[in-house]
Amino acid sequence: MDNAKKDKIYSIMQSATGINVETLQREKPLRDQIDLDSMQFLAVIAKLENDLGIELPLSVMEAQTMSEFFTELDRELGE
Amino acid sequence: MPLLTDNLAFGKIHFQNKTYVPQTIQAHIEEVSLYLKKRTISNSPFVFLFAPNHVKTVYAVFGIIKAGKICVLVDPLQGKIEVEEMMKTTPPAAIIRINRETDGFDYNEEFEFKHYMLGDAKLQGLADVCMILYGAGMDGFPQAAMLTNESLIANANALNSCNELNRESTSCSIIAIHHLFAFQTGVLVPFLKQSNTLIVDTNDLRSMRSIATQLQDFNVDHIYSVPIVYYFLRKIPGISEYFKTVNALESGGCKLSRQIFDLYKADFGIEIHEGYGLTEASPMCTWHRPHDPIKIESVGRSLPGCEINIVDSDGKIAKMGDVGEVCVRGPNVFKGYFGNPSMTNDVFKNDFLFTGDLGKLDNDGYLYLKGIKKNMVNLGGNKVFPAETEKLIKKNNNVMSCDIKGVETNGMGIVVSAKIHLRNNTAESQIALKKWCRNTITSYKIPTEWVFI
Repeated sequence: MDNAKKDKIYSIMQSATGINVETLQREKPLRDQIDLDSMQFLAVIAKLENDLGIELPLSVMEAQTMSEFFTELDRELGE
Repeated sequence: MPLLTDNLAFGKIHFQNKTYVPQTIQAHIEEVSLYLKKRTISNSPFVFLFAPNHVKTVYAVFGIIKAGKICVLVDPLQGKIEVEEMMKTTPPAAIIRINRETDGFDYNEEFEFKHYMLGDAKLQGLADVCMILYGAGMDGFPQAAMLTNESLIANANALNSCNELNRESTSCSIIAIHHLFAFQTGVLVPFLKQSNTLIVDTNDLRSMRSIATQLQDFNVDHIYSVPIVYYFLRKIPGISEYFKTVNALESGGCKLSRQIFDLYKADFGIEIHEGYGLTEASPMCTWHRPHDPIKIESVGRSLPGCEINIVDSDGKIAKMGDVGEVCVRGPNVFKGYFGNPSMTNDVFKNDFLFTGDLGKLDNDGYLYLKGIKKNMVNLGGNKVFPAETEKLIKKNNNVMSCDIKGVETNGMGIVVSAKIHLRNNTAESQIALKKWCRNTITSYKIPTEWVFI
C-alpha cells in the first residue's frame, strides 16, 4: 500500500478513534485497542469505503488485528 | 390501570442458539418481580436497567413493571457522568447490571439496592408510567421521557395492525435494545401477537455472518433494523440463502437511502418498509404498511390512532405540501418529561407533541422529512445534541471553550465536529482529552473531527 493511502487510512481511523493508530500493536486484538461500539465501527468502514472510493468486503470488518485489517485492505486495494 | 405485563401473550425467545418458551420467560419475570418487591428499601419507583441485547433484559424489563416499578432503560455503554446526571433526576431504588455470560440471574451480583428516600412532591405525576428513557429532550440536555403502559401498548398495537405477524412468525430487531424502536419491534410487538423473537447481540456487529446464520436457523421472517446495518448485511456472501424465510424488512432510526432500498429490491425482491418516530411517541408515528405503495422519499403514513399535523412558523396548520414542524397526537404519545414540567409544556400544544422535526405531507397522507428544527445531529439513528456534548466536554478541566456541530461529509452523511480551546494545548493534552472523552462520555456523542485552538 502506498504511503498516501496508508496516511489517509490512518487519518480516518485516528479521527474516529481519537488515538494515534500508528501506536497500535499490530498483532493484538483491534477491538481491545480501539474503543468503538459496533455501530461506530460500521461507520468507520463506511467512511473508508467512501474516502477510498471502493466497496469493502465483510472480511475487512471481521479482521481481528491491525495486521489482518491491513492485509485485507491491501487485498482490496489490489496491492 | 392494567400493566403492560397483563396484556402480553408471550411467544418464544431465541437467544444464543437456545430457545426460551413462554412458561420459562414468565417464571423468570415473576422471580424478578418478587425479588424486587421483597428487597427494595427505597420508596423510589425507579429501577435502572443497564440493558444489553440479552434474554435477561426482557425478564428484567417485565419483572420491574410487574413489580409496579418504573424501568429506566439505560445504554450499558452510557458515559459515567451522564449516568450520574440521570441518577440525580430519577434516583433509583435498584440498579440491575446484567452479566452477559449467564442466562439466569445471580441476584446478589446483578442487583444492587439503594437507600434513596424521595419526598411526595418528587413522586407526583407518575401514575401509569412504566418506563423512562433518557433522550435529549428538545434542547439537547438529557430528559426523562415518561412512557406509560397505555402509550407503549397503543404503539405496539398500531404497529401490529401494519404487519402480518402470526403465532408462527419470528421477528428479529438488529438494533440495541435500549433504543425504544428495538424494544418495541423486537419484544413488545411480537409478544402482543404471541409470536416469537430472536434476540441478537449487537455488541459486535462485525459478526454479521453469525447474525445471518441465526436468522436462517430460527426462520426469521420479520427483520427490523437501521440503514447502516442493512448496508453491511447484504455484503455477506450467499446472503440470499440466509434470507429464505424473510418476507418483511423494516427500517427506522434515520432515513433509508434509495441506494439501499434498490439493492434489496433487486437482490431479494423485498421492498424495505420505512417508518418514522421518536422516543416521545413510544416511538413510531408513521409506517409504510404492507399493501401501501412505497414512496421511497417518504417515511410512510401515520399509524392508526396517531394523528399528524404540519404546523408552520406562525403556529397554524400548514398548507398541504408546505414544510413545517411535524406534530403528533394520539394514545402513543408520552406523558411528559419527569421533573421538567416547563419543557413538557413547551413540547405540548393543544394535545399535540411538537417533535422538533420538519416535514410535509402529500395528498395521500405520506410524510416527508425535511430537516430538524432542534439543533441535533442524527448519526445513523443515534441522536447527538451539540449543546449536550459541549456541556459534557466542558467538564474537562483543560477545556476553556467548546463548539460542537454536525458537518456534512462527502456522501457519507454527517459527522460530529469539535472546535476546542484548550488551556494547555499540546499534542499530549489533545490525546489526553480524547481519551478522557472515551472514558466518560457515551461513545457515539464523541466528536470524530477535532480542531484545537
